[in-house]
Amino acid sequence: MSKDHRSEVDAAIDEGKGVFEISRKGRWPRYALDMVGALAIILALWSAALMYSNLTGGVAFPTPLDVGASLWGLLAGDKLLGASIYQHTIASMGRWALGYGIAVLLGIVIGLVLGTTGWLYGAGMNSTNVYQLIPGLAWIPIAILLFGIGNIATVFIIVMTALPPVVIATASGLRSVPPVYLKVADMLELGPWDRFRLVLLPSSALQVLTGLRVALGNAWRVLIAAEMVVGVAMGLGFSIFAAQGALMWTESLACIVIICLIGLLFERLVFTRIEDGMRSSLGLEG
Amino acid sequence: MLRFESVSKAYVDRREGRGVVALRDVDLEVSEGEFLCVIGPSGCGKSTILRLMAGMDVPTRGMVTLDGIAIERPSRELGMVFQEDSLLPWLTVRHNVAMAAKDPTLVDGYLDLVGLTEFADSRPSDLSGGMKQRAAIARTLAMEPRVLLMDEPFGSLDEQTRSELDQALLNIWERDHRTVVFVTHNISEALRLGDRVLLLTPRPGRPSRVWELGERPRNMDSDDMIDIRKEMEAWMGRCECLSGLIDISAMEGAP
Repeated sequence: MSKDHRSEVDAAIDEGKGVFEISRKGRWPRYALDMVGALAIILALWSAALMYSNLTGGVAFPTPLDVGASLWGLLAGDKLLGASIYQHTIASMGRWALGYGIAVLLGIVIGLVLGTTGWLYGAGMNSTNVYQLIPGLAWIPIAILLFGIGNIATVFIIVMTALPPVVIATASGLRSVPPVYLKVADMLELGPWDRFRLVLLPSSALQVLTGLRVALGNAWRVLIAAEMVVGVAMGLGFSIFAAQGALMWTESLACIVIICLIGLLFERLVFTRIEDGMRSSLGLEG
Repeated sequence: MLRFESVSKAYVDRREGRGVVALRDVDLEVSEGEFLCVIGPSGCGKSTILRLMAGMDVPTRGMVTLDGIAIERPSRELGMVFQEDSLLPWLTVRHNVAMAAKDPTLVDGYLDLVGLTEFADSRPSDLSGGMKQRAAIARTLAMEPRVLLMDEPFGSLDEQTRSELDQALLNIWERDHRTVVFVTHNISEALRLGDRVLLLTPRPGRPSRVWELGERPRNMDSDDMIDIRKEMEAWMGRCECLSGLIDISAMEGAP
């Protein structure tokens, strides 16, 4: 039990309450503490890189203060490679949203087919598992051969990388519905739509969400990498690569910080909330 | 009305290269309105009998019929109350019952019958084990099945809750005398509930002894009931020695 709630618990015992409310303030200090801890680890690793760079006498490694100042300037409107950081971010997020959206739609449809068709499941899952082993960047030559260089190739690479976790999570989620729920559906002679709506979908929703989460991370990571190689003229990955080419190391690192912040934002503000809401609506709390 | 004609059921595990005969040459008849209890040690085929009755499994040999028609798949005529928690956790208790109801206007009546009116809008996660099973019974009753099949429905509950639910079930049964087949390994429960108690011997499962019990209410301390209990315990003891649980849940039915 957190010390923050000790006085509230004592008061409840003294007043003979069976059930009582506690303040939620305790969550923030703990969360803040975790964030400070994570930041400390990152800064420690950064310092180690700085020291190593000084020892080897290479190019001066940017300090956190340098990168902070550069980030501040970029956020305040400084141009990087002819565009604002907002334009670069919007360009990347547009590709990411398109590629991820296509992967989610395709993945859920394929997963539904595999998960609900007994004879296809084994073959489909085995081939998806093999296909999942292909590293995201290995799709680059195929993308260029099929679509040339540019946006479509980048989106293709994102789709191919984000697809397998969605397919696997959807299909295996549908196959891991507790047997007793299926027996209930059989006994009630539910039609295909009611069976899907009342039993299969809610049973597998959390697993599908996990797949979407993994796919989101895959898509984001490969997008940045693909932008470095597949010949786009704007985007965060392109900025990292082009800034490095122009020896703008500080700006390059500032772009990496922005990438991390966007990922964190989605993880904390979007997925965690969706998962909490889903758990609550599925009656899986408590 | 419900009849087993020379029914055998085997399961095979291709990977392990072995099979199990869960039931062998079972002949059995359950009359309309009868409350039949099936007892026996673990692994004697009690649940297999119930699955075959429910149409959730098909016999390897022989035939299971309801009014002369072979039971080949689950249907709303054969309502099952499972041992494990089978309520859909994302639906309220009322919605769980309503999804099964033949007549949606009677849902509140069924909830009242099992004493869950106050919890109609609760989620299953807010209910105790006993309340969940009450809700499961309400759901199955709402189907208005011809036969109520109960697979150790109170097996995971403490003795006091089990006894209360047995009484609640008897009260419900006495309203309409629906046919009930109730599987249990608890002799006291079988003596409280059944018109008839059937004992299965294991490996392969076969009916080995049937007791016809008298009118209700029964005095469990009467000489007759004490004698029957002792006899059942002796038979069960013998059967336990023959038993040895083989998990057939991962096995394939041999139709």
